[in-house]
Amino acid sequence: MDFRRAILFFFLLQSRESTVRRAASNSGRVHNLESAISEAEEERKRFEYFNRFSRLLIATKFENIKESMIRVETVPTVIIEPPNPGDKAILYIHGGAFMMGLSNGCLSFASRIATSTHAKVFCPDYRLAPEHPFPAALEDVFSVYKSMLQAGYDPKKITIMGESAGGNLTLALLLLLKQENYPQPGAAIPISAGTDFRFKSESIKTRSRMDPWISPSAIPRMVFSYVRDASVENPFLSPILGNLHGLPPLLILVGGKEVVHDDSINFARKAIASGVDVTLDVQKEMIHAYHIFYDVFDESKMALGKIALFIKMKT
Amino acid sequence: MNIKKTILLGMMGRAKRGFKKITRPAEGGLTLEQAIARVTPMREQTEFGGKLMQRVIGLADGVRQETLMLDGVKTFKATPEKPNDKAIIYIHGGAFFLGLMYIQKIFASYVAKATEATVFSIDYRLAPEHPFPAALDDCFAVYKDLLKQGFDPKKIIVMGDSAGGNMTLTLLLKLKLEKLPLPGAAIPLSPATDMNYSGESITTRADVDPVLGFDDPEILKYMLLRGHSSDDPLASPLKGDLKGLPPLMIMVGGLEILYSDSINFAEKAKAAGVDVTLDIEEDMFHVYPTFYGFLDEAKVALGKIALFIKMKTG
Repeated sequence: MDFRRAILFFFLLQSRESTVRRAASNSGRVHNLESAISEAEEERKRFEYFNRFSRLLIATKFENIKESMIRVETVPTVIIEPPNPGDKAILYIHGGAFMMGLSNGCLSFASRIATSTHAKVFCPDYRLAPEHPFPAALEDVFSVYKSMLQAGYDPKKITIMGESAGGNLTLALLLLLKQENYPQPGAAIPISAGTDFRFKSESIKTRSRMDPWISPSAIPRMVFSYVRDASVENPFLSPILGNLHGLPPLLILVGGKEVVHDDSINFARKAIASGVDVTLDVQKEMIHAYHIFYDVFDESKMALGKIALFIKMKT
Repeated sequence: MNIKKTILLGMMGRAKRGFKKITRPAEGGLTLEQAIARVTPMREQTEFGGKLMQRVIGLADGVRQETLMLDGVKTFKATPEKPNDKAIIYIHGGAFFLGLMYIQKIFASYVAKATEATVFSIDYRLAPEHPFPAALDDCFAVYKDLLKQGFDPKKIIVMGDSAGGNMTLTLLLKLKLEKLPLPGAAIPLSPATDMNYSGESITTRADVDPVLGFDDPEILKYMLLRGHSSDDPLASPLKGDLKGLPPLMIMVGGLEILYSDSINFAEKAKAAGVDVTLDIEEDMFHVYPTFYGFLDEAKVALGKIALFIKMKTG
């Protein structure tokens, strides 16, 4: 076994174990906002440590990439600009259970996709739960999309994409654009997306043991911190419950070894039934949001190729 | 710099020196014996290099390998664990005169794994012993055999690199000519599309190409065509009528003398109404997608190949 893979799995399992332990100690309930915030902070520290570690271990330099930070209304947004950017742009919504900030892994991925597609990538550092529950994050990414339109990008040349919580926000944003009569982007790419906050799909149970990272016991806490007082039936939380007619071409990527596997499958099925142009790619051996771990899995490198080609063909 | 890439470039540098040495005798002409004598050292070298690569990189896990005769043509079949209903015909490169059995088996196994299709890679007859159109006839025979085996042509993908990219395209033209159903998609990788060497990159990119280079650029005409016209579209697909070709994805590197061959073909095909996706990787060299175990870029390219096949053949 290759050592990068071993280190990655060590960190992922550690993160999973801490969720499981915490859930066991308070019987799976989250009691109040204060304890939710302190748990989130602990989790963020662990994540930051992993981030730093991976930076030391891998340290990829993107020499031709220009990285800058702007503020879109109140939303800090990192702009990743490749050399000779064309007329395409990507709104890339990072993952992290609505709780973690913009990570090194996400920014590296953004740099790679910018290089491969010659598109400028906008990475909003949206507001996080539990401090800012739904719909704060969705409002933030909506603001950034609007600012991209104002900057003159043709919506047909924009791709919205994101993984995990960012995949959920990708789909929720498409529904919000429909409701608010804004033009849809040319394409969208939800990766390992959470599409159903009712969390009733099969894979939550059947894949719980093979998922090395996400434990179903994390669900109540996430619901408490992000959903808070809203209803899980709200399509902006559970986009699978929305009306999917008129969505742009979708490339849906998911791993076989993840508890939210069915969220992608079910969403793809419903979108196809609603006449949406859907390409579904399932990598049996892969874990949640595997595309981020470019230096670890061959499948991640292939995922980059798939995403780049899809953007090229659809926008 | 990464070590696998360094090793690969070292091997490629040797190949380029090998190609350069293959020239016509000073007195002109090129007999069959002279031609064979000129390619033999390179064949031995690529056989050794190929065996070494197979040892170092290995084949993809879970892919079954068999050697078959399809209508008399030796073909390596790579079957993934759960094959879908698609078949990929893979036509290897090697300037029409090198057999790349080992290297083609490695790549074919990863293609099979990534696409879940069954890959048939053709060990076609080589020049100069078997000049044009022997190799194309072999590819044509295998395609017909797959139709006979019951593969839906819409689920067949033809793919090949360099000389194999040339035959990917000439096979399409031949199928049109023979009024046989065309495949669902075709993916030429760094194809040679004009045996007249009309592409300007033949000279403008000669210095930056780490793989290909000929001191005698006309040599292939003598080696392969042996008097047959280089304007025949079945040798130079750029000269063909491209209407009605299936969706194409042409992949090419920026650092190669055959760069213009891809660009010119893509332009002509687009003008003929063909659905063309042209993928240029500026910092890459000739047939880089085939070096799966050596280059991250090859893995990225295989992702593109897999998605293209999925999108165009259902």
